[in-house]
Amino acid sequence: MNALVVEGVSKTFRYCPQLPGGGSLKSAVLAWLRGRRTPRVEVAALRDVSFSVEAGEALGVLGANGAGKSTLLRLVAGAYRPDAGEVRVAGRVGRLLELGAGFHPDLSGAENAEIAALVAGLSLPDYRALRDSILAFSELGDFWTAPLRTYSNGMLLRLGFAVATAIRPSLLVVDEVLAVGDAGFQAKCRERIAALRAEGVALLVASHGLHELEATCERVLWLEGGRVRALDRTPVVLAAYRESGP
Amino acid sequence: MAVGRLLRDYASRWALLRVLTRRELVARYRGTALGFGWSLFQPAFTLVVYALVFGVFVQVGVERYPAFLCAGLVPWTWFAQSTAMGTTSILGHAPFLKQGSMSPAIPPGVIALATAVNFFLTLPLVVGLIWLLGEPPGVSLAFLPVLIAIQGLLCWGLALCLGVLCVRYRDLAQLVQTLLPLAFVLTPVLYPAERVPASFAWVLAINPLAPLVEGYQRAFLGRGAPPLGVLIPLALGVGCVVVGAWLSERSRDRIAEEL
Repeated sequence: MNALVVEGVSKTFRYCPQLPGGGSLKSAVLAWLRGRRTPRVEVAALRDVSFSVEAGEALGVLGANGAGKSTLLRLVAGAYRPDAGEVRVAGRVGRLLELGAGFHPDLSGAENAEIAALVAGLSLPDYRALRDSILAFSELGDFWTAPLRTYSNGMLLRLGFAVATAIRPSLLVVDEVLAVGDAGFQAKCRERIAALRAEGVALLVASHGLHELEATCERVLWLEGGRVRALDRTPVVLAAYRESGP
Repeated sequence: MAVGRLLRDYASRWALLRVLTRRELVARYRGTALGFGWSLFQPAFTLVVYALVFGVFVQVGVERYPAFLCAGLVPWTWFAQSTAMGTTSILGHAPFLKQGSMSPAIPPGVIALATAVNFFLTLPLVVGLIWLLGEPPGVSLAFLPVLIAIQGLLCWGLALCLGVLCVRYRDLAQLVQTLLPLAFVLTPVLYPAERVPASFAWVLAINPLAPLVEGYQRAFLGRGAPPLGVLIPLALGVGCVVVGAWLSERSRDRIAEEL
């Protein structure tokens, strides 16, 4: 069974180059008065990307900066809509896209975990049932009730990872963040990911860490300039990637 | 229809709305010594300043002026806070929206709820204070729920419209901050509507907030039913919710990349 199917997906970003934030009210009004639209620059971030991930499988995403890795992950997470093609996910998506995304520095780990779990789509009773396991996995101890601004990067990752994996996802999407954990926690993450995969959770992970990809992924998708350069078993793709490199 | 989708969004994510509202209320004063007291102390201090200027130094000539001022200032504060914070609400919740599991209609709802809760918490104190200032509570207070419902709808609708538009037109945040003080002096909060010269009466006539604030003044000060003009903010509120629902529906697909 497929946990994720991506079919012929293309994504183009448009932005107004002259102003930050995509344009001001004034320029929009002026352009409208002059009867023309503000000039837009188009960037094709992904072009005709297709692949699927089976339940329990781990697919790595490899590529240079700007190759489209993060765009692909956000499309799969449902934040972006494809211009063409289709993204189909069976079930809930666990997201680890940015470290501490949406966490409030003045609120405690407990409060932030509750908010993050509900944003991810969990119900309040479900969250309450999972709270102890989130606390236990995150190893935060007394910091659980301390404000988040007192946390180290590693602690933020532990909390985010604990929430993202506790919500019973059918697909876990991870963007680059695992590298900030220490060796001990990384080992624990791998263990938890292995356990989730044994239960049928699929994994989509973007990383520059070739060793990490080697250790966790069966297959790797290599993106170059928004297109699929290679999609094959990990050793094959990594060998080709190393050969092409400087 | 867009409004139906909006209401379904809210109904299906009611628990999320609640925790985000609590986050908004709790986080603002976390770590301060006065805590929630700040949300009482700030308007109270503003009240003292205006009462001093317009009740003592320059006399507007209203009996029991501090009570009159309080009746209009508190609902105005709710409106101003909700509109200013509503405009930046979607930008402020960007990290959540970029995860792709939340509708853009949620943050304006959060701000509308948080500011309304703030208003409700101050309400008993306002009634007590107005009593202390010489206007005992009466049956006119029964009109408050109507006024609060109209204002809630208006605040929510404006937050939706401005919140979505501000993602593309960032100038709106500054523009709203700049225009709110103008709207404040054009609304009869510091002075009674009757004191405005006839040649400027049209200003109040086209200001949808004027009848609303007048309604509050009548309700708090025992002067009976709100003016019929409150139907204008009601209609505006409904209109804003409809337009806001449409805007947020239309922006849903692209909002994460514009944040």
